Amino acid sequence: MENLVELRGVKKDYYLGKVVVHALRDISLSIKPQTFVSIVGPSGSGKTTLLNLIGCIDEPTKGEILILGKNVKGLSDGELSHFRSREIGFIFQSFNLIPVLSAYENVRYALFLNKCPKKEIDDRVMEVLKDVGLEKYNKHRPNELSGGQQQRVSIARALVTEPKLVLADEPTANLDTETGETIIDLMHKMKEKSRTTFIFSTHDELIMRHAEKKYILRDGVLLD
Amino acid sequence: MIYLKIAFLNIFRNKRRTFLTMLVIVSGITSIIIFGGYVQYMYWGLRESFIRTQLGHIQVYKKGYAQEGNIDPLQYLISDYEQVRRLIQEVQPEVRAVSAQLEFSGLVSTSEKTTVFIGKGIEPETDYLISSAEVIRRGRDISQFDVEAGILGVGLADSLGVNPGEFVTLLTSTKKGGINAVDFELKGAFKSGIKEYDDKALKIPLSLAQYLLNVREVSKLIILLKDTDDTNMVAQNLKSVFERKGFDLEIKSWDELAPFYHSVVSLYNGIFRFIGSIIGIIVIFSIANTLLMSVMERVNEIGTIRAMGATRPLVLKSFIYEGIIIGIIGGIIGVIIGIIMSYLININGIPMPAAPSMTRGYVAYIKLNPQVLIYGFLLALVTAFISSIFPARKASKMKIVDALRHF
Repeated sequence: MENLVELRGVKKDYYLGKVVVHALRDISLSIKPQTFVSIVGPSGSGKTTLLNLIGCIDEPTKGEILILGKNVKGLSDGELSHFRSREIGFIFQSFNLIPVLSAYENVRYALFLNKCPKKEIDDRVMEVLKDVGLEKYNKHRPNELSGGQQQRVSIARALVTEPKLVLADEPTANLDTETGETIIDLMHKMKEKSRTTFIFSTHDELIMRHAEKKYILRDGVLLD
Repeated sequence: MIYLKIAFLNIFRNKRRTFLTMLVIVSGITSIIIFGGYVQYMYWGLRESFIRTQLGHIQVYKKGYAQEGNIDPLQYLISDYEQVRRLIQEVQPEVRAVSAQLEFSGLVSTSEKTTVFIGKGIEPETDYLISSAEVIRRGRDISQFDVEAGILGVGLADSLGVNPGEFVTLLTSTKKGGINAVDFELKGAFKSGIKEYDDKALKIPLSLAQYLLNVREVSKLIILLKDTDDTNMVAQNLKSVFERKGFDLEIKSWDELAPFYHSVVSLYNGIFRFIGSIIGIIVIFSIANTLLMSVMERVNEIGTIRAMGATRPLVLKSFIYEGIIIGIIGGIIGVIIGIIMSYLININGIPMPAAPSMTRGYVAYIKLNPQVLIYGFLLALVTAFISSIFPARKASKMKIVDALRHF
């Protein structure tokens, strides 16, 4: 498999009543495995839409999307869910942790969806929490953690299933500069360790500096 | 099962809302349990009242009595009743007493008035057991040592204007068609609580009734058991014993002889189901409302777990589990409070007015049995399940990208 992600002539339109909004126009790109990719652009340029399509949580109006060489068009909702739970990790701007669960349980939940054998769960969760420096906070609930710590849990949750691809939608937008820098460093390290492909949407200069490949989006058009 | 844990923890996210929902469920289940317990007490009271007002648990007749006995009861008499009584007592240790009765009717007179009566020749030494629901209101009951004596229903005694110590005359036709009469001293007046019966009934010793009718037989043997629950088993056993022995007898259990009881049970079962449905609907709306609010508060969270790979059925299941857990907790608390409330009510009972066709009120109690408690719990569980379906479907049908945009 040469390309981990491949988009061919992808178009995405939204309908706001009778008004058609062209969120993405004829996007074609390919991303190689184990790269650190950033998608850059101003608000409303289509970054999140592009990540949603790559993450198989939305469907294109037109075009083809191949993830790990597999054309995801036509897969059922259940098949896409299984595919995501095994191959894709998500990191959100607002962390999106489950508030009633501890850090440990939040990470473990990803393994539950991944149908990981029970005997492996504890070791894998603790290992990844250790990697993000939160092994001592494993029993804390999200509201007992700082923003940076919550984002670390979110990274641990995205990586615990050992996905081939991690998608991060503006992961530092809700963090101060220093914490954001730490998070980016951490993700970079994790990328090196797990040999996973990271794709970020951002307008953060810091992330752009770390990126091995940068795509620029403007008004739904890829400028490259 | 992590999603079970999530479901459980989510219930307590908004403690005040969950408390109010639980309050509705617990109130509903407690009410249905107390009402169910009251209905059970009423069934029990009515049943035992029928059994202990001359019906007994089982009655033994000459074959044909049940169908033709009303027209000519004296043609269907049991002659070897002592032998049958011994046999019953030998083969059935569950039997408490076997009392013979001779039924007849005719005219009862004082020096001034005459009216019709329905009479029973009874054995006082055992009759008091099968008439324990009857109360002697004036004078005393007849005893085994009384010969030319009798008691009248209060209504009959009042209409004749007789009091204990005075004499009345009974006039009836014998088995062979002749006319016979006896005088007896009125010992007392009894009240069964059923006005129609008390207005017509009288009881005299069996020997006097046999003398009056010029027979040596009885109309029936009334069997009183130690436990009402043994009725069907004993009735079946006796049927086969009588067949084996070649006795020309037939058997009726108390419930075959009490159609009124079945009408009351049927009526109250209908009311019970109706009230259960109303409570169920209230509980359904309450839980559905809580879960819908819970879904709306957690749209972003639903989007997150769906993005992570949770399938639609898993999301559906998670919310249904939440509803069911609310139902289980509410049901258990409702059952416990229902038991406690029943215990407290039973300390003094509930004074009730007389039922239709009855002449005296009674004190009602709450008679809980496993069926009532199980019904209460299942009502909570089933309504919780039903009410969680719509919110759960709404949650599982959400588009992931729309849900993730929601804050």
